[in-house]
Amino acid sequence: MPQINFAEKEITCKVVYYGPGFSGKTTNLQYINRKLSPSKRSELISIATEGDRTLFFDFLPLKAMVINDFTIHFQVYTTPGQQYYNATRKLVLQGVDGIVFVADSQWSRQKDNIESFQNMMDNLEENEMSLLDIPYVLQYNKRDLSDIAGVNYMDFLLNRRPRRVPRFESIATEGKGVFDTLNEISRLVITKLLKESVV
Amino acid sequence: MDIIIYREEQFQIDEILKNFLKNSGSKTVLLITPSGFTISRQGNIPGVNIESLAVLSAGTFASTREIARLIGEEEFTVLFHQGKRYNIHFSLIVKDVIFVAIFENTTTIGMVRLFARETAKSLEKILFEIKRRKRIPMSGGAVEPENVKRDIFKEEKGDK
Repeated sequence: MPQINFAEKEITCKVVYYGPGFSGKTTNLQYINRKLSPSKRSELISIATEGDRTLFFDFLPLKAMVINDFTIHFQVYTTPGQQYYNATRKLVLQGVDGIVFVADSQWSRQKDNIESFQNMMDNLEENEMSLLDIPYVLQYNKRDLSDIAGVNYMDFLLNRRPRRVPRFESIATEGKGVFDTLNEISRLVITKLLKESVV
Repeated sequence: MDIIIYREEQFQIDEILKNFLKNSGSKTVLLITPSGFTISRQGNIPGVNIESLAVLSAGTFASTREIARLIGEEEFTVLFHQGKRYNIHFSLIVKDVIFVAIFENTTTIGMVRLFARETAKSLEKILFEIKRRKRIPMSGGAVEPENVKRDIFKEEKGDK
């Protein structure tokens, strides 16, 4: 849920990158951090374990745009992908305004994608939220690898709910599709905000 | 939970927090939600990114909530980190608002706790109103959703 501050003329929204371990969520944020003008972002915080896996979460504050004198800020988070960090994932989802689900395109990871997607729905439900109300997009990452599932097949697995959502093919290590994904989720979140808020 | 803060409320909160800093001798105080939003902050520690501090504090508090659950406690309402120079005192005030005070060894944990409790009481009514408030649909004269541009964030050439 966005925070609206009339004194500071600021609106802050929360966007979470969700997905199985090693699907490239942190890589997305690192690329955004590298390629975005410092005037549009603050420092990226990353708490990783020795194996470069996200332990707690990554956090990147962004300044999106000004609407009716209000500056819209995004707090972008990733979640730790590993199964045993579910408590952290649940708490990062608290108050979320938009979600990017980063799926790993490799054939061997399709089961993990499905489990992670289901886990996301369960955690949303536990936070009394639902994918029916929250804007989200899909990103099929690692399209440069050889042993990958077709886009239609991944759509069949992940994008066949009543509401079809935008999906992007990406190679996050090279930045391909990273900004397209970020801009689409940002637009969806701001559009929803404008429909529902008084500013 | 929507957090909608009106100008007058922000000023009132800021004043209450300024008084806390003065009375307790703390360096910085933050009011944050469990989802990492900062409701208000006063004071400053040079070179410290307050937004990051707020988000990590919310994360710390949330993980202790899980620890509490694991050992059968409903909640830990106070958390304290002691350092060589700075100490941090976290406390849960009202419901789901976290009060974070950072202080040096020039004051004591007792003073901070005492004034944190008093400040919590002063903030209770305002925070209750803020938390209760719901957004209302937008009326005319505003930006239409169709006009939200597609390239909100622009990828720059070269590393920044």
